[in-house]
Amino acid sequence: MRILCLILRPGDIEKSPAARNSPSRSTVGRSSAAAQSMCDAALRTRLADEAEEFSPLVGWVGDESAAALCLDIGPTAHWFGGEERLLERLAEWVRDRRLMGTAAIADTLGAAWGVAHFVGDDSPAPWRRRIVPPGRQAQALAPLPIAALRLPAAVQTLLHELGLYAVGPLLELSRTALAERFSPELLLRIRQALGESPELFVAHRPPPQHEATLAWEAGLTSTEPLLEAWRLLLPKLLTPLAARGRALSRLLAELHDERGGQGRFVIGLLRPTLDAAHILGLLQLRLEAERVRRPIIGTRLAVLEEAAEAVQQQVLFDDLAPPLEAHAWTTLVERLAGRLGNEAVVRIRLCSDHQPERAWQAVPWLARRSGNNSSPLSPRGRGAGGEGAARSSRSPNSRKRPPPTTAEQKPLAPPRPTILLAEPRPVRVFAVAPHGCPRQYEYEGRERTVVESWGPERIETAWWRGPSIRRDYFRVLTDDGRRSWLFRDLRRNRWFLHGWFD
Amino acid sequence: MSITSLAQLQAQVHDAEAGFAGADWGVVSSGHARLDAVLSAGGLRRGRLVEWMATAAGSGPTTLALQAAAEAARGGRPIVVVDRRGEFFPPALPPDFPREQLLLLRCRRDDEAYWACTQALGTSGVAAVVSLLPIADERRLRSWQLAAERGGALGLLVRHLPRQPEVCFSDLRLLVAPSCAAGGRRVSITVLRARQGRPGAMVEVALDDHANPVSDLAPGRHREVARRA
Repeated sequence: MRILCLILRPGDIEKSPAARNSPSRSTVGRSSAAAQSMCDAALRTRLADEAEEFSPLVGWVGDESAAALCLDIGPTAHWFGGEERLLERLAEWVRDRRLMGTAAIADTLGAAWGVAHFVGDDSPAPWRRRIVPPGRQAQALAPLPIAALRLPAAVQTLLHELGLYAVGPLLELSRTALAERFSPELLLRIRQALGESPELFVAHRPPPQHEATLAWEAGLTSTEPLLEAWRLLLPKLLTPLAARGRALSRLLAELHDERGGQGRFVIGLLRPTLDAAHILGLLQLRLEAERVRRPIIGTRLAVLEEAAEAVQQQVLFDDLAPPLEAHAWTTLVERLAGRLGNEAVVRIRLCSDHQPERAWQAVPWLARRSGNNSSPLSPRGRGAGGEGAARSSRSPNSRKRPPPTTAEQKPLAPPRPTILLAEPRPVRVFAVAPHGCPRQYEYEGRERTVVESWGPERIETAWWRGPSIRRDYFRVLTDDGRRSWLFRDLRRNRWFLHGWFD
Repeated sequence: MSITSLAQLQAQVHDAEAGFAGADWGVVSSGHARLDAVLSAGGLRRGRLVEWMATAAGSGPTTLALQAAAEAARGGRPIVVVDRRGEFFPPALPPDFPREQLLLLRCRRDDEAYWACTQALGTSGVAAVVSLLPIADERRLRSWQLAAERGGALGLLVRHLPRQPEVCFSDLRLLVAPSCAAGGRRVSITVLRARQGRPGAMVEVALDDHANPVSDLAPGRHREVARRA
């Protein structure tokens, strides 16, 4: 992927001999373009329209004060004879519009944006350009100020207070340390700039909207007519998609009630489809969970996300056919997410945090644009999990990390309980010493004698995370054979039951 | 009643149970050779329900069920864990557990959880379904049993009940009781009911609380764990 980032400024035609000599082909307006601000929405739209001669994917990125026109030139540069020639054409294009500009080309949007904004001197040259060779974004960004990473002002201020002014020293720091001490946006911006995380920009020309609406006069309380309405509406959505070789990936369904209220839910699909019956089945499942409370007088279906239609080639031999189980699994996940909601159907991601409440994350299986929605039943390598997918998407020239060590080489953390209570429950504990291990505790009205205990395991949260947590955890075996996880809150000097080794 | 009649009745019961067996989806290890040895099939049968019962939390049935699920998932098939209370704690899974094959369902309502279990059990290709639900209605188990027979998934039901329910739709009902002896963790497993084979067998197995590599939990340089003597 190659991104061109173009910053445009109002030009001064009197100081630009090239502009004086070149015949103007501008459709923006010969005399007014220079005077108009780049903040003018209409002008920006027209410039984006006209920039489509260089790429079909053009969009504005950044707020009004630092907006830049971004073009995906990866598929089109060769039509102009390469990136250098494309920039020459672009320079003419800018001059014709009596503007001044700075252009940068890089592998990532973040790198192109940073280089375009901060490379070179402040002289009012009518045209500046810079090409970052493929895979060299880290070197290009290193000498630039940290503002080149598009960070919030508060994060920049904090970095300045720590003596970090340029991107280079920031990239030298441990990613784990940065993640613990700063907002997630810092790490995200670094990864995006280096090509380790994808970053998309919104095209100024929105994709064609596919939606269908149906309204009626009498309010409906039963679900059958609503299903019939969706049965009528779905072909109106799917037929245009099919004509473009696309398929439905995410669908929005809205229910309009008599009081002007609106219920809405999203149906996600693991595999894009044009199968109306399958989609209708998912809608029906979700409708059962939603429970219509007020009479419905209308509904609207809209395509939220589409994708290329998956076409399965016919095969002669059964051995080469995709397993039916993979299809069954896909259907199961879609049905579960359809009925329970995306947030209820999750995969597990362990986090680098000792605090039990933050030790893992639930990632929706149908997470949007996760790129990791594959089935465990798919061919090896596709469903390898989030970490593997992230590594594979890393730029080949990005920062090298040491190879992971084997589990045997790593120190072991104490065991964790299989059941963690949603809220720690207060318990009465008897200990011999004030800060000693528990000897007896009372839970559910019964005293339990501790046969053996292991601990304490001190867990403290860092100061930069706000109100601190200081706990001493004990694994406890009681006389009835049960194993529990207790902790003493060192700030309040109280005991809590937090989990069971069940 | 004569001895001959009793023998005939016994034979009829045996035949009925054999007929009940349904499709043969194969057998997987429970993860403990000693337990496999006392089971008539030599392990846990796919397409069946297995109840891991305990009288109270902290006794070990969840760990045993997850070990059996990991055995069933060898070969890359997915595991579905249905959690109603939102208390399942994934960092407890051992390092060699196939986490990337695990789909966790966090259901908000009982009816949703029951429905989800039925769907997962009835889907071909699912290795195991671990239910962490407070099952109150035994009749639900009948629909789960039929779904498992249809789909071939191994249903592993973790149940904390003070006493054994009368109705049993499971292939196996195992009672897990902890040993309160200090030292290594051990639990005894008693076969309460078995579709094939004889109930009453009891084995004792070691049950380790798994320690995960520190980097899996917290690879940071900042070390928040401090051990004291």
